[in-house]
Amino acid sequence: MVSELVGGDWSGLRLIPLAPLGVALVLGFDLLFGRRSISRTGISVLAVAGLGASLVASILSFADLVSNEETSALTDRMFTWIGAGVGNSALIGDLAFRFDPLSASISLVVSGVGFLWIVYAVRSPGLLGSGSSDRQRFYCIASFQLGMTLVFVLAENLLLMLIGFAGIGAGAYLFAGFTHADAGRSQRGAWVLTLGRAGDFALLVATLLIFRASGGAGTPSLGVEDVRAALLGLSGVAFALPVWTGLGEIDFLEVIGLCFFLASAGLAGQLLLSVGGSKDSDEPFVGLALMQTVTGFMASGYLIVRFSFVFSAAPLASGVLAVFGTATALVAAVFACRSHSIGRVLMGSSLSQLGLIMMASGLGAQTAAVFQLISHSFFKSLLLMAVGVVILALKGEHDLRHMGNLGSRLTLTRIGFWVGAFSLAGGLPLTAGFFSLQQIVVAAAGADPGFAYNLVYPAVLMTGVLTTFSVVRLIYLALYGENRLASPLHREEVEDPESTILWLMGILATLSILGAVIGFPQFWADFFFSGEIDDSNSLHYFLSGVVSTRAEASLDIGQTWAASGWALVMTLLGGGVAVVVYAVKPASLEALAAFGRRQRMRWGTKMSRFEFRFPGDPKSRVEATWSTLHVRIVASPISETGPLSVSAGLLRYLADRVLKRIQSGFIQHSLALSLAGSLGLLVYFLWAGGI
Amino acid sequence: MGPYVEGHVLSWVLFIPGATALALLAIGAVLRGVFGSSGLPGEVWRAMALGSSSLTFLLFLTGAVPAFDPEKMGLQLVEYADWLPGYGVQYFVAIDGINMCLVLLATLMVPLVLLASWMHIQRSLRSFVFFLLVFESAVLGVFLSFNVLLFHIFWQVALVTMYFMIGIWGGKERIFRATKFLLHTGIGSVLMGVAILVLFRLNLEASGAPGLDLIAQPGSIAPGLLDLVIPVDSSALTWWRGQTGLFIGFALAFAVTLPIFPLHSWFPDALADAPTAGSALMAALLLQMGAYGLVRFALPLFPDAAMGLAPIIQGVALVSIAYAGVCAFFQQDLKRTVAYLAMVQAGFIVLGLFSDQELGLVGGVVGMLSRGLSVAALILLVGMLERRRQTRRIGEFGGLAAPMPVWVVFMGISLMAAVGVPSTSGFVFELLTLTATFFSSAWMGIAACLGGFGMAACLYGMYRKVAFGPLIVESNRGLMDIDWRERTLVLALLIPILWIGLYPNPLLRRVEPSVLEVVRHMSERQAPSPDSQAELRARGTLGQSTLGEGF
Repeated sequence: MVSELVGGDWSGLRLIPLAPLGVALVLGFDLLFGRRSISRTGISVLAVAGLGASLVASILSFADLVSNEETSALTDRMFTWIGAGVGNSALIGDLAFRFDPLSASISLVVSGVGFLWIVYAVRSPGLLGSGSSDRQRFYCIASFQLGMTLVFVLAENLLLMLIGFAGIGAGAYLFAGFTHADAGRSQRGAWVLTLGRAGDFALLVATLLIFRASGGAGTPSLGVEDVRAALLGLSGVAFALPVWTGLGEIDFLEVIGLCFFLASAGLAGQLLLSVGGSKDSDEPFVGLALMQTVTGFMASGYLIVRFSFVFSAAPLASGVLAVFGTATALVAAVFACRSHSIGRVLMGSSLSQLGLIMMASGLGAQTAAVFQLISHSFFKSLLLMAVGVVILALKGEHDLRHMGNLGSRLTLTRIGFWVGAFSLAGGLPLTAGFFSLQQIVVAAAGADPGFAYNLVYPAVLMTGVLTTFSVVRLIYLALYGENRLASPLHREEVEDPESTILWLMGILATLSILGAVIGFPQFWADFFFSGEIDDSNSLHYFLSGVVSTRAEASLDIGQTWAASGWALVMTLLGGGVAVVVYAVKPASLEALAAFGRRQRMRWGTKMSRFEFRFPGDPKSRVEATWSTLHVRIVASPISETGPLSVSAGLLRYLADRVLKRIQSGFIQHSLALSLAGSLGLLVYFLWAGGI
Repeated sequence: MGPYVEGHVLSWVLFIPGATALALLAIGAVLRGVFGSSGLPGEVWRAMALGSSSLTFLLFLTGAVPAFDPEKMGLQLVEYADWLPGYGVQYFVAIDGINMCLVLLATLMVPLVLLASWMHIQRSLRSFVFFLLVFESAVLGVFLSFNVLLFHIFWQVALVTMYFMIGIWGGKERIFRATKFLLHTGIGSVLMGVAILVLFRLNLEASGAPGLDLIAQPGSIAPGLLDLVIPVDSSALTWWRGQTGLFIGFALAFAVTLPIFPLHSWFPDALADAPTAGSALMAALLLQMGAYGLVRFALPLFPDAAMGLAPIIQGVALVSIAYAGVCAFFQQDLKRTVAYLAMVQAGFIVLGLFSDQELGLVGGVVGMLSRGLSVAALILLVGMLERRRQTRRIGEFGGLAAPMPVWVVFMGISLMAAVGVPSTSGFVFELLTLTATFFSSAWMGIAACLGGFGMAACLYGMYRKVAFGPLIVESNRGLMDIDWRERTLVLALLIPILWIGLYPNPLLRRVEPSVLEVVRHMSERQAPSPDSQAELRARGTLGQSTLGEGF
């Protein structure tokens, strides 16, 4: 369709990632070498145009993909980026982008929601940092990270994926360490960078192992499709573990799956570390919001889903993924319930959602995972935009304890809060979040029997309770109850944001609700339409050729409805508890807190008896030990100690007794030495010549 | 290009710096002798040196690089002349894809270093310029020579000039450091010298004609050393005539210069104590001489010995990576941290070179270039900071992002390149060497990845301590950011780093045919044996249906 419109082959795929990257380059160059001559308006226009172009290119490419029945993917090959080696070890990586149903779905969301966030940032400059160059720096980093996310999603081969992956990590680092003069933020930045690098190396190991394997099979390629074919052919091939481990062999696909899992977990860890405590500033708020809705979050989930065929054939890796995902979902949900920082509450919930996505993917419910990725992007963006409105109205306040009773001043924003919250909790029937959670719960209920898997379903239900509790708590503490503002009179100045932001929130609210149509579960369709619709889950249908779905567990319709019903009940329970604790009977909260304090004191005292204490500062002791080893063994062969002392002594003897006399510094001695050397050389040559 | 230059570009490139140094010396002597003046002023020396080194760079860039045909195998722009034919010493220089990028790096580095130290070397300026120019010619000679003895002569001159640069313009302990440097590298050179003499004798015995050319040229009476059959194992009495003994002679000299554990102890001291100009040249050029020697001479001349010892050498390289990483973590001095970082990269280069894979050799060559660029950039940046604060102690800094944002960004890019972050030259180099290592042994590859990660984690910590956090030390508050001259100098190194990282294919296209030549020589000279690496490779790794073997 688009090809006809533009007349010729539509090769605008490259525009999707390169437009925002180009903007980042221009802004970065101006920051470093220019005189920061681009005006504020100019910066905003550039940033919006970059993401806008990316979004338009995504839409056009999507239209071309769905209208083209002959091919299942569009490819835009620019040039050979790296090419070396011959035969089985020929390493070739093109700068090429691939637009298949999975990358199309994700890139549409990344560029679309990313565009909305950039517009939001333009209209909310107060959320971009307080420094003089912060605005330009923010747009530069945001465009860079969004561009790199799109490179990662659209990469045609694993090498390009590596580039995109590292770029996302670098962006996370730049956002986490945005206010670099703050010691805590700079420390967090270093940790984020380190975790990102750990993820990079995990992905690199997977890439190189795949390359070695495909090269050994005679078809060395790192193209995403070729890798899929090669890996599926390698199912059952053993990977020998080092002899000293005594573990024998492990399936090759398990190793690859674990590497992908580690890479994805590295990104998830970056998300966690990028937000600070309630006393830390979370500048730039929009940057951190982008990470948990569009860039880091999406990339982490996408990596798992893209290589779902590996997990389908690797029970150990998929088990690890499912269990780790479940644990993350549960722990992060607890974290969200406890925190007083509004940023940390939402980050906890994002991590919890990412855990659910990993769990779903580990259980083989790939479509549910993608649906959750997409719908999370909508409703979490909506929630975060609403939260941004509150933070901006309260002049940067992040602490929930210093908010309250703002609901009547923020009537329209309040609607956004509730739509986002219900979608997040999966408690509002017929929303995208509701259906995606339903599918995940059904997948958990149908998990294979086994010790770890038996815990998955109750853990998911518990996560639902906690998630609802945390989000209702957040809304209550921010919008209802007593006015706890630092200056209570300030409440009268709070009001709904300007219309552009309301429009953005309106779009996201609409997507959060209407997004349901793309992943309408079949058992709901059967219920509503008496089995007249066969493929109600159009996302599942759209992705069927790309993602790998393991054979569904045998849940009959009754069990499916039971699982679905329990999910709804638990969601309502979480919300109900929050309402009781915070609104109806606040005294119970005090009692709960007192109970917690007592337990902490009790267990803290008990634990302290078992606490292991390093004598002195552990780091300095390690440093001192290393220094001693280094000096004694390696660095100083002329020292008195260490295994090299014998040779050092010999050298010293030679220097004292022989070299000192010859190499006295007098030119005649030097000349004599040279002459002797030359004579020796001459004698050798003559001898060698056989004379 | 005039008729005198046409056909002799490499000789011009090789001798312009050294000849300039000698001419300046002669003019000075004449002025002193005839007119009784104190000779040419230091400023004139400096200006002439900048002119000659810039001319060398431009001449190579416009004369040799365009004339080089990347599609052609073998040596190009060959210049060959008799020197001491009776003793096998010929003037034999040429370029191929391997040394072309290193010569380009060498000719680029010297004018940059001169500009970087423009106002900062005041003591014995004329001597400094003299040694700098002689060093440039010597390093170019090392990279361009295809006669083993000629290579050795240039090698020695390079070491001696660096010895003087450390000993005269170094820090407080310069004499000790310089002596340590010369002792280590000198012992290595002596071993290489002995190995060269044995090679000469073997060639003479085999062909009856004296010759030390690597590849036989039309008109030469002796065959090339690459045509010489050297037995793998000799008897106990003639072990020194076998490949293993000769390989060890060469490899030790190169390993000291690389440097690699445990032959490295001269390096952090020498680098830390040398002046910024000397450190930059040492890091960018001197260290690459060792790796280059391995690719050019040690591997193709003694392939069986090299591949036989490869598992041990790769093991040592892994230890070197881990050891240098730990040392870097505990350093308090920025320059010493950079020194250990260079050692980590040396470990990766060695891993690639001894992987018995073409990719590894290509990675090794790219690694030399990448290491030269990134470590030199780091040294220059540390030097710029040291000039402002008169200290290099990491604890004295913190929060530099506020007063020196551009310095911090440049430092970040250089560090990223050094630890192999994608989009930098370091990534391309590490990708290729690690790919080759994975082919050689998956577990060794995984261990190398872990080493690389550990190193990156350590350096990020160091970078944070220097660049971010609050400005606690008052003296850092008013620091001036690097000026335009300094930015240009560092950018001249960062642009190739990013260019290679973003689009490495043009470089790889030039390097690969020459590497294939090396591989061909190695394969032809390797003794056929059922257990040989070549045989294993022919069988294919996956044919055994078990991956991960070889740890």
